Amino acid sequence: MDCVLDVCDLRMRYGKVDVLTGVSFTARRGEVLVLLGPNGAGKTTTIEVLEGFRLRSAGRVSVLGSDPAHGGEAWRARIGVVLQSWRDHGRWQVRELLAHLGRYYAPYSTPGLTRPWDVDDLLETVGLTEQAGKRARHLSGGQRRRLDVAIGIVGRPELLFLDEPTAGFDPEARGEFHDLVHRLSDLEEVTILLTTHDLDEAERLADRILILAGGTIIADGSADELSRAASTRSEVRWSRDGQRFVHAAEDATAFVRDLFRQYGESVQDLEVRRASLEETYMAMVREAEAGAARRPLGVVT
Amino acid sequence: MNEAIYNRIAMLRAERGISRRELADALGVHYQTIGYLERGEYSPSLHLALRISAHFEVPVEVIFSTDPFPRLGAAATRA
Repeated sequence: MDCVLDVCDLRMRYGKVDVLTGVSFTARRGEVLVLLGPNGAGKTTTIEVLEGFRLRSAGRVSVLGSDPAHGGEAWRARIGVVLQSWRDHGRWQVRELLAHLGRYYAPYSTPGLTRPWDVDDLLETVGLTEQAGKRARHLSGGQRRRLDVAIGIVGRPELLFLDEPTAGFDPEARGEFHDLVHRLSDLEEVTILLTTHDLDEAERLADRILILAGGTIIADGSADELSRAASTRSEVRWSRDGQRFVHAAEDATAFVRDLFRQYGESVQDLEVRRASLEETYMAMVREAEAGAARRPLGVVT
Repeated sequence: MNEAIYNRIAMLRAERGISRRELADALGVHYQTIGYLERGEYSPSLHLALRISAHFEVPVEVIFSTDPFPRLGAAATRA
């Protein structure tokens, strides 16, 4: 089965408030999807519906071939979840805790996939080998978060949900975490859906980026596809006779061609900078919010 | 060969109560580029200069000049 996630017209309404007004996307096996969106856009709600923790109002959802509203234990054993913050288990030692939680997954081993993850391998994978004997509450913030990730993957999930996994990480811990995500997706073929507010992180990790705004997916594509789709200008800088110039071009290539035609070899220090993912993201969200404001209020379509 | 271009972008921007971020977004340049333009580290292309003046709805020579702008008196700097 190649399609791990299949979400079609997912809707969620709390009381009279429509949080999700029709979310549709799919994920193939081994893909890393990054879900971006402003606070309150419904990212966590979407993930909770897919995890089976929250009942949707409408729409069709298939997660690993099952409807999460009716997923059994065997289905749940194939899914890993790392929530935004997870502060229990403080008295447990790291190794003990992972060995203990891992045992729950043993009955769900399959011929092709031994569950749970070997504890020593897992400790090494998340970089907690030296902390194996420490109590969870004595770990640093970054180590604690790695333990959260270890707990999320101890059952060797085929699908992993990560809600803001690197919040509070220093750059080194972040880099190591990115390596771990690549390893899980590339070598273990784990499908990963993660949320973040760090757009550099999204660019680095995502096979595909989904932007959720106004209750729906307003963009779905690679970082490069998104920056091409957004109607933003490129900035062109150059110098001539020691003087520096800047221009904002809709078509940077045509502009630069003209620039050389006109000034030839006196053009120096040429730089063309396309919109960053952050600028693309901001432009798309702003556009979506302006569009939502124009729509008449009180109409549910 | 110094062909310096002087400008009053910062002054106009402050007078209109527009942030660098807002101006950058309106023009399609990076945030820092507004600072470079205001300090004269970079000169805008003619097209960009015209768009800046259109954004402020003033003639281009109100913002850009080949001669330094005269210092402003107390009347224009009241907060």
